[in-house]
Amino acid sequence: MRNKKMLLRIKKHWQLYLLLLPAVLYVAVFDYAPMYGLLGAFENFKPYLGYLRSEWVGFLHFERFFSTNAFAKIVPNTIKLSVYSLVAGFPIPIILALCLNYVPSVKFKKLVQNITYAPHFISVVVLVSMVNVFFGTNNGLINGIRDSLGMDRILFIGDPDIFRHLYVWSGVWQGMGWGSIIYISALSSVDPGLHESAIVDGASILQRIRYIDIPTIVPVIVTLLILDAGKVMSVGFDKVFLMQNSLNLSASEVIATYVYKRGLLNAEYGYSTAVGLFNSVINLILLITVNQISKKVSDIGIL
Amino acid sequence: MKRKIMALLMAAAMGASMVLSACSSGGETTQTTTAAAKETAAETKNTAGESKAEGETAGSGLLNETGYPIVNEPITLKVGVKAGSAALDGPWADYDWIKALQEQSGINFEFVEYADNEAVSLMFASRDYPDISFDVGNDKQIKEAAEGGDLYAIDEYMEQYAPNWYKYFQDNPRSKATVTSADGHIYSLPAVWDETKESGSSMRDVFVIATPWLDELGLEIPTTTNEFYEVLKAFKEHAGEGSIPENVIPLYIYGITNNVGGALDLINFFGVRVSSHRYCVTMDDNEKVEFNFANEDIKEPLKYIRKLVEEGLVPVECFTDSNDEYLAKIKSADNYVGACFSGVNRDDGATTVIGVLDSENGKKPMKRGIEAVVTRNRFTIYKNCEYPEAAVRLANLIAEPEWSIQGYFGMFDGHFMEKTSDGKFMRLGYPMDEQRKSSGVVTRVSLLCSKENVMNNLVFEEGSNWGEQMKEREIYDDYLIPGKNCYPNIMFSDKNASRISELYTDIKSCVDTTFADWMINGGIDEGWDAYIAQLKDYGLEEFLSLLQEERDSAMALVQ
Repeated sequence: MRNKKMLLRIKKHWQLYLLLLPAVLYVAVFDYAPMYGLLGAFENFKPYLGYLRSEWVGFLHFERFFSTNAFAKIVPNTIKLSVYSLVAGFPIPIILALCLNYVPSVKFKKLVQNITYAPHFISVVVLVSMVNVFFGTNNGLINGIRDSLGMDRILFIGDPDIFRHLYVWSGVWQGMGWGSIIYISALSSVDPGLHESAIVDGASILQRIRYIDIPTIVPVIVTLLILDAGKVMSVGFDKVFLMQNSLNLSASEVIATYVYKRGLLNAEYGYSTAVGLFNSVINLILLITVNQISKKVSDIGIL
Repeated sequence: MKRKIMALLMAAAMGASMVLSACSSGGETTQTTTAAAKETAAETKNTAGESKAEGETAGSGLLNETGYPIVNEPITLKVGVKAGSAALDGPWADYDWIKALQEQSGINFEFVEYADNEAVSLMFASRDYPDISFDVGNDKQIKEAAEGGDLYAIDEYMEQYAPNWYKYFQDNPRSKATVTSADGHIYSLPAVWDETKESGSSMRDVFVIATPWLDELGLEIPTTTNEFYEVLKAFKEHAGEGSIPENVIPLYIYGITNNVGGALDLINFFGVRVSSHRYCVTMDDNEKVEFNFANEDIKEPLKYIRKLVEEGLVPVECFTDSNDEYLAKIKSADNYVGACFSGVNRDDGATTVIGVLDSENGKKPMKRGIEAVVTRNRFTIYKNCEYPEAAVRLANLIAEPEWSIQGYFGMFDGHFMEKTSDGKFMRLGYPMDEQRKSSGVVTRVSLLCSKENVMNNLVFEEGSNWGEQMKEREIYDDYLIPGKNCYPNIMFSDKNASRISELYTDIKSCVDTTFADWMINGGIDEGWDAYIAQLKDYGLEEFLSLLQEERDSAMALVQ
């Protein structure tokens, strides 16, 4: 009965389903079809034997990963780095969007928007070089200024405690403008009538933000938060790897860089797949948990 | 209405981030999709293997058993190569050496370029092979392809079609051991560069110092570590005077354990035998694997380097710089580095090669040595190839003395190289920065520059920059760590390979981070016990015993 209804609906709105089709196909081909490669996580995978005939080793790769000495270091490092990125990086685009929303001059608003999202287009390699140029010990800009003010030079690049700040705030600088776009567009859907009547009632800007804007964009905020929570275990490889050196390694060795050194350089496909799977499972659990909490608390969820 | 817009927005955001997150884990997924098609490919491969006999006869009809061209009518081979950086090396097909080789052999090359290691991985995973390859694939990939029956065992053709290699391996069993896989076959030929001295090893970096500065300050070339320390202090104190710039770096070391530019030689000067060339281990005189990074004797040189760092004679960014930054600093035209370890001396007179320093601790100084350089996986023949004999003969042609040396230093064209009247190969004094242009294929192709084949006949133009470079290095001859004390370059067995790499990752990063920390913050004596305990924890003993086992069984194989 339901199936029939479904078919009827598809027939009636076939144009919409046609629009949806490429996306569904994309996900099916590139996200679902390759998933049987996860078998590799449980195998001693050899290319010439393939997934079906490679030796089955069960949870060996997982045991190897959990029992490695570095495990106790890289998992906390990964979580600290990504949670810090999330906590620092998440609210800033929202604040930026709210600020921009109240800028009366359209020209100025566009200018700020362009300037803030330009860094998004800088490649990671260049970004890391910029960090090195600014924070270098002997030739760096910041240390040059400190030196001329009579302060000590600081080894920013090599200090494990400073590594996280550099990583996170350079990321915030690069991503805030781009991240604010979705909030700006959400804010544009606020009914101007609400603002007008609030002004008539004598509401201040802060009150208007508090009672009109934020409630409107809360669904977007929560959605993005849930999605971000699902990425906690997967810190991007490139930037960490590029910023890594033997001095800050105690803070900068994360799962991705470790697996690169251990697995990929030695073509250990099974091992890297196992670690990737482990990450994805934790991410999925986090995503579902945050989603459930959010549903309970605010009745907003994505699943 | 608002709700609807919101819902659409959310859906868009969700979809986008899902796609993105899928992309970020792309590495494995791509392999998976191609592997899907692979089952069927395997079937075809098998049949191809069976019909190999026919292919061979078809191929040998074209083959000239001796003489050139190799084939009596032109054939084309697909040659897999790693793409070089265009700015530095230029495209493969443009090398004069490659062009001439095609002409002489009668074999046309169709290059298949792999952009990076991932592309190579993909090629092996999908078994979409070229006919032959230069410098493609690591030990593991080659071994697995061989297990899958996708490679020709070159040793079976060697005696008949590649006498140069056959003879080389007969004469050099140690080299044979480095390329022979566990099943006794050779699936890929190496590149050989053997400039070893009598001790059985050759030089790594040279130790250079800014002699114009010494002259200006009226100082002698230091011969002991204490004198060296005084010299570095003088460089720093006189910064901004004469030709010593304000921002002088008295000594630049590129980290401690880096094979190129690191401080290993400085540690060797104190009579401590260390190397990072093969898993950071060396062999003691009783053929036992040793790891001197955990030997108490290393404390003395470490404290010495710490003193240099503490007094600002070695800049702290030495421990955070990248390889590019290291090269930029030691090669800078502004000359602000007083002393450093470098692969080659500069040819602008800014620095001079100086000998080992005596630490005055009663031990004879050492200098890092490396065994004859045999670099694996430089010529591989895949089962796709219809003309394996011709390919092996091509490998033999490349291993001819003239071809190998021209591949290394440039063609006999009167600019790069010349053949003397008595049949020697003379390297001419062309500028150093032309080196890449002349010899783009260096170490990427199976050149056979062994002693008998090439090196004994190699001479340098009188007074040329290259000749001087060779002469300068002779001051280290008496101090080189002999070949028997180097850990041999061998392929590890299946059962130990991944365990060794696993242990090595942890141990190496423990050494690197601890040493870097000691250099910046001191505390070598206080931290020593904890460092040793940490290494034990990381499985140092197992690591050494596995390396011992692998070494012993590899040596047994050739004896």
